[in-house]
Amino acid sequence: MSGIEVKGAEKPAIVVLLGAGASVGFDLPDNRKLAAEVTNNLQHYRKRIIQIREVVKRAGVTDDIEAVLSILQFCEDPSKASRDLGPLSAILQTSAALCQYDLGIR
Amino acid sequence: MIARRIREYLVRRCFVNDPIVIDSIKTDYARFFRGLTARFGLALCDPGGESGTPSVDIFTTNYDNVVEEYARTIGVQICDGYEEIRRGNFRFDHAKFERSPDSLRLYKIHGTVTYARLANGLIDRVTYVPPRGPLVMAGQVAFPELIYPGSKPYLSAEPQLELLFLFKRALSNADVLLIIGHSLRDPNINEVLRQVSATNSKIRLFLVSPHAGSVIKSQLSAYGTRAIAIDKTFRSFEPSSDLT
Repeated sequence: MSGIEVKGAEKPAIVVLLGAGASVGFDLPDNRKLAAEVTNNLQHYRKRIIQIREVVKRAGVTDDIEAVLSILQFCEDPSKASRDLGPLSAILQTSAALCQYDLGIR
Repeated sequence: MIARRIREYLVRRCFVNDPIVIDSIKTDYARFFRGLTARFGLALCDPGGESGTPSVDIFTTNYDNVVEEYARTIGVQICDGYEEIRRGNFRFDHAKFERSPDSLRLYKIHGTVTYARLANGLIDRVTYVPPRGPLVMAGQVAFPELIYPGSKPYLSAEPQLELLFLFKRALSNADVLLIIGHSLRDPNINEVLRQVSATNSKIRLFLVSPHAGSVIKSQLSAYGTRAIAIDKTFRSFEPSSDLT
């Protein structure tokens, strides 16, 4: 057990970081499965969610639920996203247009 | 509207109600916490010490109420940063963690299914999620807004800004970071880990995951031999024997 103990009587400071893998044993899906479940269960929005996931995948990003929500958050309030990103927002104008017209989100 | 429907789905899917699942949570987390306490000689939350639950900082990117359900069933005090300022009205106060040194402190970096914003703007605790239909609390439609995507910058958002800072501060003084079931894809968390690797030379990382080796190689290389892979699931992980 060497290497973790601290000198003297002081207890070591422990920090725990839990991810989705800590909950999968309790019938809770990870973020990828959540994206798949949402796609399959929200039939009314299925086509749009699939479109978003495909856009995300084409960009080389994992199309999990957080990626989908990130895109939707951006599409719902592009001006806030622009403020957050500053000058970088200039290159996202085309993406905003994509959300508004191609996906019919707004 | 889509985002709202997705968040409603997430609340329904990630809010644990099933007694069988809750019993499983109680068993597995009791074993985990007892092992952690025994391994490091940690101080306990409950004065009687019957549950063996340590007073420890738990950060999570999970939305679910698993740790909360463990604490509720075992009767342990939990601090999640929210305090009830009047009946049915909660607010986040990061200072509450400092005021709760004897609690199980839970920091939900990506948000939680356990709080929702009511139509009148107030934040209330979610105690029950109906199997279908809109989430209604205190006679009002409630919006599960407190779920935040993790892959976009949340640098200016409350309470994420505060929670990320608290994560960095906790790691700056930590001897051990125990990461369980995490893929480390959040760029903000990874940046904190990268910074801490340079400023806290005493910290050791243990990553418990069936993919621990590859995650360490791709995300934690800055830690060198201070990052240790434990190729196990949460359920098969034994803190008292695996943390060497």
